[in-house]
Amino acid sequence: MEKHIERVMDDIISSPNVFGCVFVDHQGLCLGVKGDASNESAGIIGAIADQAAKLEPQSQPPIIVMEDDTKSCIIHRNGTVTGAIYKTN
Amino acid sequence: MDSDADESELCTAPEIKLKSDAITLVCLFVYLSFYFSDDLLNPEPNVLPRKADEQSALNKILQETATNVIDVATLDSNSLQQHEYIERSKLYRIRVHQLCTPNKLLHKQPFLLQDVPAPDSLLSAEPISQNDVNFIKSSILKAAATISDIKIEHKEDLVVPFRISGL
Amino acid sequence: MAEEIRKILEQLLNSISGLYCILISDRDGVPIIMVQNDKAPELAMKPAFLSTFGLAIDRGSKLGLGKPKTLICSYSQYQVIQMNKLPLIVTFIASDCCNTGYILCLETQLEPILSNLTLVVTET
Repeated sequence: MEKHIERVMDDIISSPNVFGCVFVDHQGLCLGVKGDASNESAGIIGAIADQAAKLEPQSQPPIIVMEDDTKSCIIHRNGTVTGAIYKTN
Repeated sequence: MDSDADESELCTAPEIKLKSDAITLVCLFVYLSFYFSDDLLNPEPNVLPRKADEQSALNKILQETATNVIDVATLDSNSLQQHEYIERSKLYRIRVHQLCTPNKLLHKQPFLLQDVPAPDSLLSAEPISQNDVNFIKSSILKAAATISDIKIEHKEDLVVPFRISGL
Repeated sequence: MAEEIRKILEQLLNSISGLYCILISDRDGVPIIMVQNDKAPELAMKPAFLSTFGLAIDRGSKLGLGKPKTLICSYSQYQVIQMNKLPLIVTFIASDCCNTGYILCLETQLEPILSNLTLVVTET
């Protein structure tokens, strides 16, 4: 049932520099979380993707990057699924 | 053995208000099984103090069963009277006005956007590397595909009917 | 004080698009404080509707998974999210397409307000 998504998430966090990922559905509810990330951030990630997409409604869903000196969080939406990947710079 | 008299007494003595027939049936089943098993184990059922014990034990079982049963039928039972409701909402309104202001409520959360010392270097930097773009795009695409493939596997029945034969 | 709480709640209400109403009531559904906009459905703010949550969490706790914390009801046009903060109940009414996860995130932000309002209900 959810084995495949578990495997996809395992693949993602085993990539270099990546330390966490979250997947969110269109309702802002957590579909899956792996590594150093929290399912409580699911709603916020969905909201960020929503708001950013409103800036240019005619374009493809944007890729949003938030970064500080050491880490960054990349958010992107595909269809109803929004994903966030956390990585070290 | 006065089992007949006993049984009728057992069946009528404790009263629980359960509306649904099915639930009453379950309770009946619980006490009957309790009664029979006890009867088999103890050859002398007519000793008086033990009878009182039996009664209280029975009541206990009944009570436990009643608290464990999820009785949806009584879900709409306790509703507030109109005047009670008005009185209470008035009371609350007064009390909310009387509350004193706590400091932590007014405490502003730390502001996320702060000035950075050298904005030009930050702003001129590449926003995101092409590798990262490809990586996030392919990852989310893969995840979205697998998520749309999620199906529920049927493993066991959600509703299990009680099979009480001979009742 | 009531005004300050109302202001904070209004800020939260406006920060989420599709959220129509935040209502804090006691366990019988008597409202203590609420903020709403004009799209909020009247019927869902009545005590008869709100108080079913108190009964539902009683029943829900018998499922053997502990006390229920949150209840999300999805309707065709609305969604109602209720949080168990006994003796208080927090109810959010939103459109069906509103970000449910984001509303759930408000829980931590409401905590200081709720600890204050608990006094209103418990005082004798």
